[in-house]
Amino acid sequence: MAIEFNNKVESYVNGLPEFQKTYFKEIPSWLSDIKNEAIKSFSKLGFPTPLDEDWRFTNLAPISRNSFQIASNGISEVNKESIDKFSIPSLDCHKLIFVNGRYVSDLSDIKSDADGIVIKSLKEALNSDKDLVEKHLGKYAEYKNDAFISLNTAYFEDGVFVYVPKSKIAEKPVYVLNISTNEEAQSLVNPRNLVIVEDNAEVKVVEHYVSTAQNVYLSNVVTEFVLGENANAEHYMLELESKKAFNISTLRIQQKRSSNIKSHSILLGGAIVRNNVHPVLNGEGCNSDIFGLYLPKDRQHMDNFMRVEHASPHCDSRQFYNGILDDKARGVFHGRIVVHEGAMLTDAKQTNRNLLLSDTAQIDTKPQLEIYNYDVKCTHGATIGQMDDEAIFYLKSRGIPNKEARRIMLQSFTNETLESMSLEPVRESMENLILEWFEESFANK
Amino acid sequence: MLEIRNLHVKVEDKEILKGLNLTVNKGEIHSIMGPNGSGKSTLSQVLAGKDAYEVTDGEVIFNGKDLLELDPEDRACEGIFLAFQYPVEIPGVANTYLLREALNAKRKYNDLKPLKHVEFGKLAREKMKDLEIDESFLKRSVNEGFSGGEKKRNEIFQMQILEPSLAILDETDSGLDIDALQVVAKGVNSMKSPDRSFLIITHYQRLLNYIVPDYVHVIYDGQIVKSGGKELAFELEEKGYGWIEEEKAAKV
Amino acid sequence: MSDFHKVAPTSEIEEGEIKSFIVESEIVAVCKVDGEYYAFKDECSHQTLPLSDGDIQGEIVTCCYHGAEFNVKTGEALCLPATDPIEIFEVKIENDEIFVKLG
Repeated sequence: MAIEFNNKVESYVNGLPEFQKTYFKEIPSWLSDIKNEAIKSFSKLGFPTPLDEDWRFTNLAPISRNSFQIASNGISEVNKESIDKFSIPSLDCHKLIFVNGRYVSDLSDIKSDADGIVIKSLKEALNSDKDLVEKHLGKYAEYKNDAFISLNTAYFEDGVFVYVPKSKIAEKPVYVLNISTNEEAQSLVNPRNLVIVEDNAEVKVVEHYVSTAQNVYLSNVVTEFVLGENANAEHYMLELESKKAFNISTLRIQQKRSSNIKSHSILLGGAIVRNNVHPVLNGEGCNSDIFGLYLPKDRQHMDNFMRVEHASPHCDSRQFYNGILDDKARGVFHGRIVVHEGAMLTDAKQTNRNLLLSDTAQIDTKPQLEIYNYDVKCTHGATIGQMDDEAIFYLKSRGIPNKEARRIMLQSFTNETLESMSLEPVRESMENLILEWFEESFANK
Repeated sequence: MLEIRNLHVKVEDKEILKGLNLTVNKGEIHSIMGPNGSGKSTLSQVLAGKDAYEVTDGEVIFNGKDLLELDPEDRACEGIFLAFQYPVEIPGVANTYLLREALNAKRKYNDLKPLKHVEFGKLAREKMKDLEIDESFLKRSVNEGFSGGEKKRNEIFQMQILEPSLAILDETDSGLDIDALQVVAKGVNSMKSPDRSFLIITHYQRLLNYIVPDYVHVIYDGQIVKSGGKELAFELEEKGYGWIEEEKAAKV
Repeated sequence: MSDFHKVAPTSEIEEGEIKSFIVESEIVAVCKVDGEYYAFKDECSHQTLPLSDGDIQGEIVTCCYHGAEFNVKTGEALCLPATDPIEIFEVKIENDEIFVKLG
C-alpha cells in the first residue's frame, strides 16, 4: 500500500506506522521512539508559513498544499551508464548511490581505505555500528523546533554513514549520489546522513542531488557532522535537482576544540530550494568556513539560511556567499551569527554578494547578529549589483568580445567561492555546469 | 592613420567635445595637454568606444575605416589600445588569463592561429623583465590590490603584448613617482616604430622629458586651441593654462 | 502548447470567485471577472500570503491580510503595503477546461 501525504498534517502523522512496518524489518526501539517523537513535533509545528520570521521570504505553500508519497523503487530506471553520466568525472572516491532515497549496493563502489574507517549505508549501520549510530543520530539536528528536520527524522529510510576513527585520514572522498527517478506520483525522499570524525581524523564528503526527469518531488535532507578535537572535514552540497522539484536541506555541524570544517553549497536546480547550514563551534579554537554559490534563473527560488553559533572562545567563522540571479528568479540570504555567553574573542565574518542579470530577478539579504558577550569581532557585508560596466568595457577595450567579457566577469564572481574547493574534479565539474548556465543565460538575451 | 574631424560629444546632455580636429600620421607621437575638465579623457574614452558618450557630430577615420561604427573590441583588434587613467580591478581573473584571451582574440580577428601557452609564457616573461615586473604578477588578479604604479605598469605591459598601431595613454603619468615614471617611459620608448603612433594625454609636462613628442596640442573647452612642437609643453609648464584661457577669451 | 497545464473545469469557478490550485510546483489563483478567467501567482507580493483568501471586486483582488490590492489583468500593485506587482499567468479555455501557462 502506498504511503500518501496530502495538504493535511494528519496525513503525515497517519502514515508513520505503515512506513516503519514497510521499510524497516526490525526497527530498533530507540529509533522507533525517536521517529514517533519526531512526528509528534511535526504535527505540532506543521509546515512553516510566511508569518514565521525565519521563512519570511520563502513561501512553502507549494509544498504544504501539495501531495506526495513515499517513492516506489525506481531502480530499474538507473544503470551503470546513467550513474556515469551524473557522476563527477575523474573523482577518485568511495561512491554510494541512492535512488529515491534507497541505497543501491550493486551500483555503489566502496573502496578500501585507512584502517577502521567505516563507509556504508546508514540502514546497514543501524545493525553493524549500532552503538555509534544510537549515540549520535538525531542528537544535533534538533527535530523539536524544526518542521523539516522532524519530518526527515520521522520518515528517513537511509543515507550515508561515515565513521573515521581517531587519527585516521580518509584517503578518498566519500561521494554520495542521490538520484530521483521519474515516478508516477510525486515522491517525498528523506535522505539522512551521519558523519562522525573523531579526534585528529580527517574526511571529505560530497553530497550530489540529481534527477532523471524534470518532475515534481520533495527532497528533504538532513546531514549531521560530528567533529572531534582537531578533526578536519570538508563538505560539498551539489544541488542539481529537477527544475520542478523542492529541495530542503539542513547541514548540522557539531565541532569540538580546534576542529575545522569547510563547507561548500552549490545550488543550481530546484523550484524552491532552502539550504540550511548550522555549525556549532563548541570548543576553543574552532574554524568554520562556509561557502555558497546560488544561481537561480527562470522562476527558481533559492533560500540560503545560515546559523553560525559560537559557543566557545577563540573561534573563527567565515560565511562567503555569492549569488547570480536571472529572469524572474528569487534569492534569499539569511545569515545569522549567534555568539553565546562566554565565547570571547570570537571572530565572525559574513559576506554576501549578488549580481542581478535581469530587472525581474530579486534578492532579499538579511544579516543578523545575536551577541551575548563582549570582546567579539563580527562583520557582515552585503552587496547587490548589476554587472560592472566599467570592467566589461576594460575587457572589451583589450579586444575581448562582449559575450566573452561578460562570461569572464561572471566567472570571476563565481571563482571567488569555487576557489575554496580542495577537490579539483568537483570544482572543474561545477565550473563547466556554471559555464553552461552562462551560455544559456546569454542565448536568451 | 587617425583623422578626427569636427568631433562633438555629449555626456548626459552636456557637450564636452565641441568640434575637435586632429590628425595623427604613422609613427608620430602627439601629446595632448589641457586643464581639468577640458575634454582630454573624454577624447580617449570616445576613441576606445565607451558607450556612455554620445557622438552628435563629426567623424573619426582610423586606417581608412569609420572608427565610430566599430565596437570597442573591434577597435582594439584593429590596433587601438587605451592605457586607462584608472585601470579597473577585476578580482578572480588572473592577469595571464586576460592577456592570453586578449591577444588571441586579436590574432583570431586577424586570421592568425592562437598562441600556445608556452609561446605566450615566453613572450610575457620577456616583456615583464623590461618593465621590472615580478613573475608572480601573472597569477595575480587583474589590478587587484595593485599600487598605483603597478597598475600603470600593467597597462604598459598589456600594450607591449598587444602591440597596437595606435596607443592612447590617458594620464598614465599621473600619480607616479619619478622611478615609476622612468620605467613607464622606457616601456613606451622601446615600442616606438615607424608603424606605430602614440597619443599621450597628460596634465603635466614632466612625462614629456622622457617621451619626446613630435607635436603638442592644447585642448581647452572641448577644442584644440593651440598646437606646436615640444617647446609648447615647456611654455605650458612655465605659464600654466591661464594664458590659454585669456587668449581664447580675447578671441571671442 | 505543452507549457499549458489543465487546472479545472470552467464550471468550478463562479463569476466574482477566486480559487487556488497547485500546478506542478506552483500555486495558482484563478478568478472569473465579467465572464473571463484570469490566473496569477497565489502569493501577495508584500508578505507571500495567499491572495485567494481575499476578495475580488471587479478586476481588483484585495489581500485579506494587510489590504494590498492588485489588478488581476495586469498584476499591477494598486496600494500599499504592496509595491511590487504579482505574477500573471496566461489562461486558455479549451473544451470547458481552464489551462494556465506557467512562467
